[in-house]
Amino acid sequence: MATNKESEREHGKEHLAMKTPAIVSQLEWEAARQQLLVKEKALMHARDAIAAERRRMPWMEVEKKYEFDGPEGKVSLLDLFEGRRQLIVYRAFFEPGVFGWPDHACRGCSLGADQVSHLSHLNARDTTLAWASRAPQADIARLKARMGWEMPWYTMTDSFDADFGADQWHGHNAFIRDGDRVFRTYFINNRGDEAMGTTWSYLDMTALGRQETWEDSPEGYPQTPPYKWWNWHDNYDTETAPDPKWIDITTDPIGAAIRRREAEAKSCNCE
Amino acid sequence: MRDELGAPQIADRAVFQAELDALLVREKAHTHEGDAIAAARRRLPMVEVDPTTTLIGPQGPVTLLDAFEGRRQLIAYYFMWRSGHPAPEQCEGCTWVTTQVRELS
Repeated sequence: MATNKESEREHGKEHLAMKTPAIVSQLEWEAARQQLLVKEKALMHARDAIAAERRRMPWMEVEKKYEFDGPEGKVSLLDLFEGRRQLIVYRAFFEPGVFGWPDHACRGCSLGADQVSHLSHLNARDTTLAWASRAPQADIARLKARMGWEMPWYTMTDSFDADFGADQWHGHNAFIRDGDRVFRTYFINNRGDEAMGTTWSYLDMTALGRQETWEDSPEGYPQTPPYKWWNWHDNYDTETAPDPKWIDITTDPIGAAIRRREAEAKSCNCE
Repeated sequence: MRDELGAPQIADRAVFQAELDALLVREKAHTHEGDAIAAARRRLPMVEVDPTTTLIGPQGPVTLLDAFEGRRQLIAYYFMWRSGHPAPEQCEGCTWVTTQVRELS
């Protein structure tokens, strides 16, 4: 066990010879930030352009009948969609021979699991996220309970990992279905996996994208205005159409705030 | 569905992989540009802030310094909270962001 001093050094709490940047006024700092913001925005737009290219990838038909074990028994790749139009499968390393077995999954995959955001938003875009490993379902159920993870997590039984570039290393595969036909549409691995976890990161790797009107997508792709389809994660089922008040806020935020204050002043007898 | 979407062509594994490899070049360049921007952030100047600025926490008033919880760095997110309103009436966008925040250990 590290002594306090060692642990302080590890966390850099001692004022060692780290050369820190200049301390400047708020004004100078803001100017420096604005300069960097130009690059930040360019990077963001480059990311959007890459996602637009992903949406123009050809689709690869998946003809082999893969089989997985799920909590209720045998399921097919099509079943993993849970009836939704798109599916993302992350291949996680949790099986005999992997560091941490049987108590834990691989540390990198476990860190990734901790970053998986609330799935209601992704599901609201007709997209399912599933994890897949080689460990039996009983071990997966135990691991999920221990770590507080809630994503669907299946056991691979065949060459699914090898066929989709994830037998030696982790990776995210995106699929889309047309009725009962399934197509592979994209693949992200290595450092690309680092950035996965938010609803946006998942949607940006899919064939349909975020399905928002500002996106550069091929003709006829489903799109609705940004912000308006967002909901509280516990309210998607009860509120199937966007609340008019929320539409008002997202369409005219300043006007909506003024109207809200006026309404609140009227309903309160304090004035 | 494919006709209504005007969807991309269906390709065999070799063509799909070739397209994937081509886009991967851009993906990697993007990751490296992101690394370069993060490196530039680490070289930004700093502004001194009043550490005694008061915030109200679950146990009452604390200072900005207390919010570090003894760690060296602090990231603060401003949630557009409407005082006196229950959780379901709070900003949907900020609530969204909160559902993206997971395990902080």
